Amino acid sequence: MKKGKRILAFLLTAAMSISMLAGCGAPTQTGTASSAAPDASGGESGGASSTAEVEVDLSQKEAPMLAEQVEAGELPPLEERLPVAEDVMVEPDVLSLGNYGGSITARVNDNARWNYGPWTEQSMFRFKSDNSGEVEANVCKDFYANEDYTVWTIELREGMKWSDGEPFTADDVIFYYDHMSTPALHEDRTAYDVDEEGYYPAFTSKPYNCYQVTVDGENYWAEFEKVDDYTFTVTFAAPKPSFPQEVAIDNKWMFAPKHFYVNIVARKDGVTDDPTFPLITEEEALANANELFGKDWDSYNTMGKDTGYYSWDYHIIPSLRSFIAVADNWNKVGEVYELVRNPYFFKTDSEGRQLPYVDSLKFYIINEEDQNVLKLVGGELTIGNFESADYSTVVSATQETHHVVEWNTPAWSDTNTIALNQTVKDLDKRALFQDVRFREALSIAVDRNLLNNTISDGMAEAVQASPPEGALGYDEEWRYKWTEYDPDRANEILDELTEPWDRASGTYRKMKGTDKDLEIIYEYKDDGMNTEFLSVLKSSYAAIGVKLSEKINPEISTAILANEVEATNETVATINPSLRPDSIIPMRNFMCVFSAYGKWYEDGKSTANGGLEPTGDMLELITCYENIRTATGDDREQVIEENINRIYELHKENVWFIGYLSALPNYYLVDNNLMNFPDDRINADEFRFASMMRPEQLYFADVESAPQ
Amino acid sequence: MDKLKFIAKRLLLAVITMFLISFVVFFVIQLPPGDFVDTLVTNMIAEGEKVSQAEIAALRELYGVDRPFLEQYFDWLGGILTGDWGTSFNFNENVLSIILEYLGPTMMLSIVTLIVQYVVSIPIGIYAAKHQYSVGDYALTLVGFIGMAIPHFLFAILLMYISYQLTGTAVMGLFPEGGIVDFASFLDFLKRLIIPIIVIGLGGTCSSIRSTRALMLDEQTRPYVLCTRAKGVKESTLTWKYELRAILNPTVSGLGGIIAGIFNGSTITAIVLLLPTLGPILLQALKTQDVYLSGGILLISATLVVIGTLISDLLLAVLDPRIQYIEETK
Repeated sequence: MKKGKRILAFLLTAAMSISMLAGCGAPTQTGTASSAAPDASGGESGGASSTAEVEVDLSQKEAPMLAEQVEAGELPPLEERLPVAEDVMVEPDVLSLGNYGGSITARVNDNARWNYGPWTEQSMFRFKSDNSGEVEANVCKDFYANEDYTVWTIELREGMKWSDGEPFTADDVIFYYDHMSTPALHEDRTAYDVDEEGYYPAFTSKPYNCYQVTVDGENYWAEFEKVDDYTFTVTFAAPKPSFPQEVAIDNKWMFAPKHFYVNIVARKDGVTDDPTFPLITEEEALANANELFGKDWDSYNTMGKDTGYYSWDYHIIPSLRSFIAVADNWNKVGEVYELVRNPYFFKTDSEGRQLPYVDSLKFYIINEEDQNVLKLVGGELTIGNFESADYSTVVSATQETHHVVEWNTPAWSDTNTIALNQTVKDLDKRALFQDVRFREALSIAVDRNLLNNTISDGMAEAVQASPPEGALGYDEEWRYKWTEYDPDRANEILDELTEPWDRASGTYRKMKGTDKDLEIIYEYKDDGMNTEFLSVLKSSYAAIGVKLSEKINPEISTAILANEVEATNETVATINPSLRPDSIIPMRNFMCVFSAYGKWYEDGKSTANGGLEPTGDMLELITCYENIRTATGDDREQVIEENINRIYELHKENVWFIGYLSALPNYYLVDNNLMNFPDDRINADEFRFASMMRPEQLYFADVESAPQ
Repeated sequence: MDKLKFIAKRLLLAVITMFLISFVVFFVIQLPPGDFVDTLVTNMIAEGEKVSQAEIAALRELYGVDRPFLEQYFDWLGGILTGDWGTSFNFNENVLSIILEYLGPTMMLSIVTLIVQYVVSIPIGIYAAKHQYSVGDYALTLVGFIGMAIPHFLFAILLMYISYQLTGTAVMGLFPEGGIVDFASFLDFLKRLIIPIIVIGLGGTCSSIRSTRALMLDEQTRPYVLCTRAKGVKESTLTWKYELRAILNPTVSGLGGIIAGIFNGSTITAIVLLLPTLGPILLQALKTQDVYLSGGILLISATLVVIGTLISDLLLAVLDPRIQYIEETK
């Protein structure tokens, strides 16, 4: 499948630019840099499309710019900046040894904290780069659980430092957890209700699920305890076998510089005699923060969320990241947001040379896609991103200097889907939407090939919304289920489900036993919706007597929460339902498909606030999910596997998400001078997107000609 | 004394206009469905956060968007008068400080453009009038019409393309990377200024050429011109000393409109050229329903228009004695 797509894409590109040599600029993952970059040796290591036989000065153990500062006495020597020798992290993902220097230029928009964040992110545990879905130690040195997975012990790196030179210890983790991440807790470590007296939210406003376990329907928060400066334990009231994976997805970092935050976090536990964390009120904390950050926060909660949760937005907050911002101008369109190497970064390559290799990351703040294309075409970006529509423009203009690297996504389909609210308020519609035959009719009523040529230049594949090849849950039968274009069969199906219809054009079917047109109101947020897709969908549905009305709704998110949206374009992209279940299990109400079912589960299986108790297959999804959550015995792996399979089976049978075309990969346009850019990674939220490049190990073959 | 009365009258009118504008502005920005909390909730959900109806209600209360319209308006107006322009929901910063940050480059660009516009258009207009139906006149007429007809943003894209073809990079942004620190970066800045000024000033310059030409042609047949010329006064003296003064009136009275045009009309251009002006900030604020920021910016731009009109009124009173005469005989 993938091959077919690649060949198609290649033919397209080749047709567009005659001068292109075979195998040189084709949008495949291999053999691009090797022919384009004169000094590149090709992807021998298997992981990189661009590793080179570059002469590397191994005697340089740190970047010249840092060595100069050490020389001038502005910075402690390298040994004092790194953790103690045996605790230094030797980055296993360095694809080839590199030289210091140069800056990587890239582009983000002005509201892109989730885009530039992963470039520098350092989480406690991280997913391995081999796409296995396993986690490994990153900020921590090691982690292990007791026999029943109720107590996790985590070891930190001795001598590790924050970007301001202060030591990073277990205190930073425990402070972060106790005072920034947890809401008001009872003695038994259950949380206060929102309307209970004494309630307060977490400083970061983020009640992470990874720190909670459910026992008899009650959620209990874990307890963190310091063993020594570099060791702490996390104790749960019930087994938590997937704790590291959950942290890697959910919270990610799990620490904060205590010495900084004590000034802006109000102490809530009543302790008054702790010199390392003096008691301050919310008002004092807010005033301190407004002064420190030069901001004008209205409330302690907003400030807490901004500084505690989005901490990487503010360069004055010490961090463990690979690159540190020099100014907070990430929201200023037209400017360059620069992050320079962290002199205290805790990783080295196999020769003991401190990472990162490049001096800085420079992000052009550009909102308009056309300007991005201009930058790309001008060859101004070291690492660029572009949309499939611009493929030929970008690739043909830069074939001498850049190459394309594709990262696949775990998305079940592209974003042009239809998801029907299974709990829609209109009962006649609900009966139809819940009928699997109705969904089949909607699926086969659309000519996917026509759609593909219309909206994706034929680069996508005609599929059903389902896990793509290579992803967990892939099932060929499901992938192509109901993808054959067959409007006659769709009409036959609908004839059984609706009042008789004479197929007169301009008229629609009436719902069974009513005089109401069979109308689906399709709502979407304005930006990013493909209107060509909508027109194909409308005419295809009209041919089977189904009226599709569109409604632009800027408030669609809140409308879904209130169960007021009938249908929308929802997509699923999850690497593993046991780790990130909320888009395919009705456990929350933010997905239109699950609306009131999700509300029911979120409210503790209650119908009091508009929730609706699921039945049949929908209920079984929840059962499977609960089986996974509570699996702890020796047969844990097996139970999880069985239930995951069952979840996929249920989705396959029901096709709650109707997709039409496969998702296109994420395209990177990479400067041939940049080495070590990996080409076999998956672009997924769980894997933290750009983080998988391991940007600290990217380097320039020719530093002189790299952006400075 | 009469002059003072005239000025006082104009000032009073300006204040009343401002008040009305502020009301309309606040009303209009509240018109679209939804509010800032919706934007916020959308972002929170996109980030995988759990949001309940109760929390949304609490957010509405926190940001005060659930209060009645008039209450919000007078609160806002009171704040404006006392210097507290409110907090931008997007930036979590004082609205006034955000506006001031972007007002500098915006004003700089507007004023330079305005000067260039007058300096270029008046001599050309006069030349065209003095050489009516000559080749030069026809050529300038053609250029003028094209300039008036071409949309700003399209012209910007064209110039960007040309600059890309010439230099290999598309010039974007106003300030060089790292800001203006030395002479070289100042030169870079001047280079970057060329395209925005041409683009933003083009429409105004061309229409100003047309109007100057038309006015000048009218003057050519006036008895005082014929008389002066008959008396043997040099043509250049006639043009620059007598005729020019006569045509300045309509030109100057258009000042308010021109300022508004430059201020507002440059939004799309600014987006295309990545200029650090208020236009794109306003657009973003409107899109995310950041009411205090968009209200503040709209108010500032309205103020500038009102001030521009006021200045042109006052200037006219000085430049053209006839205005004073009309006021007196009213």
